[in-house]
Amino acid sequence: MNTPWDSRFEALVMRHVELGRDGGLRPDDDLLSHGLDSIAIVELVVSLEETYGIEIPDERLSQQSFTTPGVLWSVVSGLLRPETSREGVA
Amino acid sequence: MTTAPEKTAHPDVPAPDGPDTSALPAHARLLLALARPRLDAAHERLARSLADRNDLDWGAFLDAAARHKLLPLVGRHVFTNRLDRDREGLKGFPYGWVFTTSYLGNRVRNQALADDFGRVFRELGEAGVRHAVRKGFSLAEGEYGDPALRRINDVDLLVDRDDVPRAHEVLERLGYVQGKLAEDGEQVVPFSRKTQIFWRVNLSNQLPYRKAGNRPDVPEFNVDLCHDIFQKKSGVSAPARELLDRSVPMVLCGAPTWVPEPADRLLDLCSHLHKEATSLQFIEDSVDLQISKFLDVALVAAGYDEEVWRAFLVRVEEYEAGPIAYYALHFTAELYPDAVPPEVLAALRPEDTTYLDQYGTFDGQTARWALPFLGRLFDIGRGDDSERSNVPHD
Repeated sequence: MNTPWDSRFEALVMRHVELGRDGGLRPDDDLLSHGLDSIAIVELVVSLEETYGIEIPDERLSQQSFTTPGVLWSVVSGLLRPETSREGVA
Repeated sequence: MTTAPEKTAHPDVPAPDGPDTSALPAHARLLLALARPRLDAAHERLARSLADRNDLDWGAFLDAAARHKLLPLVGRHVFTNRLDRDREGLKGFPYGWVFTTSYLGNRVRNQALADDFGRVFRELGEAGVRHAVRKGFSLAEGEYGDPALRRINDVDLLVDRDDVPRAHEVLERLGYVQGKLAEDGEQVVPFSRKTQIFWRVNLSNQLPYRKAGNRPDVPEFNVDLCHDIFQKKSGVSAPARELLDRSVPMVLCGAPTWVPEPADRLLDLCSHLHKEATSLQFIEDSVDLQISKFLDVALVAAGYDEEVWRAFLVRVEEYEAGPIAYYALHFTAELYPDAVPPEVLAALRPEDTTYLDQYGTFDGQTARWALPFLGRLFDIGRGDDSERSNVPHD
């Protein structure tokens, strides 16, 4: 399945969720009901920030940003510099 | 249960109406007798009788009074009622100066806090930031009638999220920084990124604003901006904006400010008590169950008439906060039976009350207390077996 994100994003998110099925993330998977709890969100944000060299701004640090991979990727990709973005896409 | 060993029973004067404390150690019973701003004759007699007991562990009493944030209040009673003097063959309190100087120290400390917080209220108001003072000085200058009686850690202000940038500007100008006091006690350093993320995603407050106090009685000044009186995880929400619309103008710390209207104010205290009594972080820090919080609720509740209670019940229903309100009022009524009308408790009582003895639910780790309420209130090891909080706060 084609997804808009790169393999690093997929791997980082998959560390914190248990989808209960084979295959990778889908854009509309419900992350919060598949194990992404409040502490996991903290760990995930730190990993994403370190991996992509970004800092997610305060106004995007809400539960809403972590509802689905699609929403979260839109937050992350919106913060990537163009060259980082190109390098990052798998 | 980790409390002082008890020795033989001693015939006390009859206890005034209140909880059955006969199973508690003498030091705990003494603290409960004194846990009120004004000591009536019956409680004074009981206190003198308990103080005369040879088996009263004064070290345990001192520890409990400090843990329950009642040491200044005890000090005031020792002074005003001359509890340190032998009377009618009953021994007085030992080392009365320890208690009275705690009261005096708290008076000086709270004056320093009031000087600073008054400036915060005034400048926020001048900057057009509507705010309302939760707990703290609204109680100390209000129901307690003597700000020195109540130990105050910080000031919690209800502020609308939209006003945060302006409030931030004011606090920064007054020397406040969002962070924690460094080990040297002189600088405020930022929280770890993990803590910042956790607060922003999960909590209804801004990260605390702090300023070094550089004085022995005030290591730090602390201002918390709160946007809801309930925790996000409670599933209940009463946004600051709604409470601010109903808030009442007041002068506190010598400056104009606002406080939540009566029904909101009690609901806020109930929410605060419930959150801290049941959250792992507060259990871990041994500040989950403090008599001072029940006294806060009891004093505010005791001042209500039928009309305010009706408004309170309506407000609780509106926010679907029945279980939280019942939790706080139920246990308050155990300690202060006259504070809450029975019909209010009956109206709020949920069908299933098993949650009253549970904790850790907001942390996703529900567990059950082994001891009943009064027993755990004085069990300093009550949290030893509980799960650790995974909330980052470094």
